[in-house]
Amino acid sequence: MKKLTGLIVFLVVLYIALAIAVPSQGFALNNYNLAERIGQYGVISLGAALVIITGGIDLSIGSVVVLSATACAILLTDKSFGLDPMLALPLVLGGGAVIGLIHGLLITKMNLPPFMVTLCGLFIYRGVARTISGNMSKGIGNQCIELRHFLYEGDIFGLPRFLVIYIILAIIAAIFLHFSVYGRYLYAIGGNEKAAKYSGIATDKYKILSYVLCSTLAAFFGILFLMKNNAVTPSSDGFFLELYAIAGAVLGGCSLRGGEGTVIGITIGTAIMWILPNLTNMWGVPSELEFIVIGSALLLGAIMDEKLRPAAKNA
Amino acid sequence: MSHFLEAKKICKSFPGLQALNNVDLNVNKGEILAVVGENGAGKSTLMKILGGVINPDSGEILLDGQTVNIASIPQAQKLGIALIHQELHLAENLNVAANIFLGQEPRRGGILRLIDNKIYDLANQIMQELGLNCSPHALVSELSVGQKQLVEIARALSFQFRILIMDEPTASLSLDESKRLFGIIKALKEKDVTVLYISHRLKEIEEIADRVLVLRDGLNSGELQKSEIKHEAMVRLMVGRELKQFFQHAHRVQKTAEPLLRVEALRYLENQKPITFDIRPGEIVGMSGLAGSGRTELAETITGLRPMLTGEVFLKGENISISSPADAIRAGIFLVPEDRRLHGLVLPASVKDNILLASLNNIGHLGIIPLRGGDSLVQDMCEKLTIKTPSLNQQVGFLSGGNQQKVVLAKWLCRKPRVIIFDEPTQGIDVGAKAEIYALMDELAKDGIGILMISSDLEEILHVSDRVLVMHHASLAGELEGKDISEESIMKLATGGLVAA
Amino acid sequence: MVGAMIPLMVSLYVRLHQNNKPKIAVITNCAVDFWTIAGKGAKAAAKDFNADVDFRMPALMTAAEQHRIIEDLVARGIQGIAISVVDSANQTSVLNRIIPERVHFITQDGDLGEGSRRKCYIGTDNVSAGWRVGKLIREAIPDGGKIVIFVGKLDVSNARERRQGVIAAIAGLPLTQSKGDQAHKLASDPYPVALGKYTLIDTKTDNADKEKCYANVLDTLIKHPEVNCLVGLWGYNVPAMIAGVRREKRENQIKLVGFDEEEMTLQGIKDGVVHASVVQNPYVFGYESVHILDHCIKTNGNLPDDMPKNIELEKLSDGSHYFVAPRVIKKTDDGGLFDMDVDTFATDLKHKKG
Repeated sequence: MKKLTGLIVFLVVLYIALAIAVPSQGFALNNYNLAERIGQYGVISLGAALVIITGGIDLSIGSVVVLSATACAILLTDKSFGLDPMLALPLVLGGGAVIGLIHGLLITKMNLPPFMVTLCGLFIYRGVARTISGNMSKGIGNQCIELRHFLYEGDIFGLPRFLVIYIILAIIAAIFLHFSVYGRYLYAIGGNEKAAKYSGIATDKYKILSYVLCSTLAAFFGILFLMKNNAVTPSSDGFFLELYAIAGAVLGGCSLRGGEGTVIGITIGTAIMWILPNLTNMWGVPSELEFIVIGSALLLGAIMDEKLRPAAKNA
Repeated sequence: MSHFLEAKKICKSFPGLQALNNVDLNVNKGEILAVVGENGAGKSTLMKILGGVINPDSGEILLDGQTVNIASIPQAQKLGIALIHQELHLAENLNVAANIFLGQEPRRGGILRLIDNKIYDLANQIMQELGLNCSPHALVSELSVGQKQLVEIARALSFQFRILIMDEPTASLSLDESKRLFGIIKALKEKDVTVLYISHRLKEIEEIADRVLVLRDGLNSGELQKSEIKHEAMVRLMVGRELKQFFQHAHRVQKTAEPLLRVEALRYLENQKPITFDIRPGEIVGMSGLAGSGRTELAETITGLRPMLTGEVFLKGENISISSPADAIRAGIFLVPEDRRLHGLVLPASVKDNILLASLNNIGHLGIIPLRGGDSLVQDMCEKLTIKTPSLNQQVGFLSGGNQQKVVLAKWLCRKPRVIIFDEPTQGIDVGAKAEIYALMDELAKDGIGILMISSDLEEILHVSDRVLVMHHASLAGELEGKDISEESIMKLATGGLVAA
Repeated sequence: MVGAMIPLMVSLYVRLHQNNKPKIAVITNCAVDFWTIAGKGAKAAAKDFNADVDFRMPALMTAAEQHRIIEDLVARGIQGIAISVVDSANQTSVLNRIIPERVHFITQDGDLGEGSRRKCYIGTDNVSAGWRVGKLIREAIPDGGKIVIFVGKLDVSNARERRQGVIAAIAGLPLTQSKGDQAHKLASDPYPVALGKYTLIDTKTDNADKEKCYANVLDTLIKHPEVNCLVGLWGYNVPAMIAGVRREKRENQIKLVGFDEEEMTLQGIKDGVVHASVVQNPYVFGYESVHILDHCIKTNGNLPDDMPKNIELEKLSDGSHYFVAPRVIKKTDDGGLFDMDVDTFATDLKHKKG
């Protein structure tokens, strides 16, 4: 846990800055909004982290999100489908799983680099989303009120539903990664794939599993996205989402070389990723300066993380 | 009588190399069979085949009289075959216990497959048996090389096996640790476990082997029964000729000569005893020590790859400052690295491009390299070093180990070398090419170049060096010269003992 | 550690500089020149009405990004919001939800669908602006011909409405019928759409990507060499069209008609490559958005009635619409009410861009 000192300090500093900047009457509302965002985007950070821990990368997350949101909207509301959510949701999640399976198979069985496979996915799935939607926004209008209520609207014990969902997923992920054999193998593969192989671990199977989980979580995020925004525009939604997800994971201690990262770290990384744009909005930073501020602040966070880390051991 | 494990007519070839050619091996229950041979003789390949790591091109394996197909590591494990690899295969990001039980963790929680916390107690038991004194919670990346080696052994001991294959398990162990390991091996023998044991330390083999199988250039070279296991006999079968024919470097250095290179009070680690030594012109100084004793790090520091914390380097009495590889190269101090495939060569590039890599500034004009520039230089080098390559544009990755090593050397000879540091110059190189490399080193020494040769091959150290430096725990444990140089004296220094005066 | 102090200092500065002026936000749908001009208008209004105006141009043209910005503005205590929405149909209920009652809220440039709580809409009547473009097409190729339309996306209402207006005018329908059933039907006919002596061959979308539009233009000129009129519905389409016909050296055969006031478009009009451009008045959007919201805040929800003469107020069933008249820019002014010659317009624009 020592490794996270710098990050936690940075997060606390940002939060204090936020508390100062937000007018007191808006403070509770802003906390709620922020918690909702962290919960929402944490879902894909977890997915990205699973793949990164095995030493892979998934650049297709944003496109999978858009495709699943589009497909979900069509399945739920299109006249020719109009499916019950109990049927539509498993279909969408299953679709995400299939996409991950394809990535995993291409990467392990055909030995293609993950970067290329998922980059191609990034293009293809967005194209598919635009095609099946006829390049139009797809919304759910005022339908599926029950589903929206179940997943999004209203708080549970004062917490946004997205955050509650994330907490549940994070606990499952923590058990999976830190206490189960499956997680142990993902770390071993990321640390030294050959060692894992020589220990008789079916490394391909576990790598595929990580891509399946990542894409399934991305598909789930797509559903959440649809619930929150009521609609998805396949041509422009979800750009850079994979970079936010990857940045959240890496900031939180996942090494891009693989084999490192904790659920707590990922959560903190994601929180920092989303507290920053919130803070710039509170400061009233002009739109054109926003990215400069966020980029510089992230850099500052990375430097603090490095500086506050206990002295590196000799290799 | 049929043997417990029998391998018949095993063949395996890699691109450009027949690693095993109709090799036979058989071993009985409770027998310790040592497999010896020079680097590249095919020992490791044979063991990997038995361990399910690689598959043979042809041949048959019988276990208990039944033909078995060992296509994968899990299959080998199911048959009760455990393999301890020569190279370390550990997940350094995980702790000791996780590594020991990787792939066969004790589980609970049914389908959840949670890892049982008793993993640490179980690990502790095995670690104590082996004398591995660290916490099972310690990260493997924080262990010393010797400790890592023990983790690798502990991993094999952690599950039920009938056959244990150990590929150079003692390469980086201290004498004490090795002794303890032999105790364990003998105890296993009592339990009727079969052990296949590979080592370069022939002394060890004399001590524990019941029988010795010798391989040479991928062929069966002979077998020695318990009573015949003698150092000379093994060497004779390994090299195929009398030891006397082994390369002998002509010792011709004048003791009084001015040092060519002098390294004074050098440290690359905090809390390290400063290292001081010198190399005279035309001298081949051997550097011995266990793996992880800091030899490579020392070489890297002298050649600017690693920051020098303190210390000075003098070349012909002139103090030179080395803070980057470029500084060392400018001074004429070159490194032929241990892992030539990783650090010495650009594998996908051609022979020509590799040889010219360090001399492009001299060939090009304004940064532009003429299409056929340097061709004649490369041609000369290939002839001088007898590099066997179909063309100058051949990808260097396809050459044999010996030729690759010569390409690395040629790269430096294009510049004007004054000191060359060889790190494990003949690792993985066949006997013939080895002799050529030694001859080349001799040639270079004759031209007055100073040579520092780091080697784990004692045979090589013994026969090529004018003088031997021994490293232990990142410091210079001693220096041996003339008739003081012997296998025993080197090992004693390397494992922390002092030489009897 | 010094670095860690920076965010705290900035926050303190922000905290200490709070004031009691009306807090108004104008949110655009993306970041282009058009909105830079609107921003100038909003800033001028901020000065005139002594309001605190936050002009936000999201980097990505997405509803989700707008929602996030609005959430933050609301938490910050904003009092009035003017927004150009991305997705008229689906953002309606989301904005009703995330913008609380106490915040006055209007749409500008892009309107929301039915059931929105927005006070009013200010912007161009896109059907009517499209109709003006259609008239200019008839003027440019009086003997008939083949036409291709270029636009960013067709899932945005202003693009669909402009296209409908264009088609209605080419078909010879009067302005009053441009929103009628016949115009609607023609706009949903499959390609090629026959419109008397004119034929609309295709509408090419490029996802608001200028390079893609340029490629679309070149592809069209090769695939349909008979085309003699190109129409751009979004501002950046016109420069791409100009570059395309110049590259194919067909600027004398093909007439270009478009929207908005990109610099290349204006130069094209001066050079005679572009027949005419219908320009909106983003400066007025920005200025009047602030004006309306300021009035709402000060009078607790009333709309102002002191509007300049180029703004037409239409009270429709779903609330008030302030339609800002578009202007037709040609090489020389031929006397229409809001028409201008290109030089006068360019001078005025330069002034507004500052």
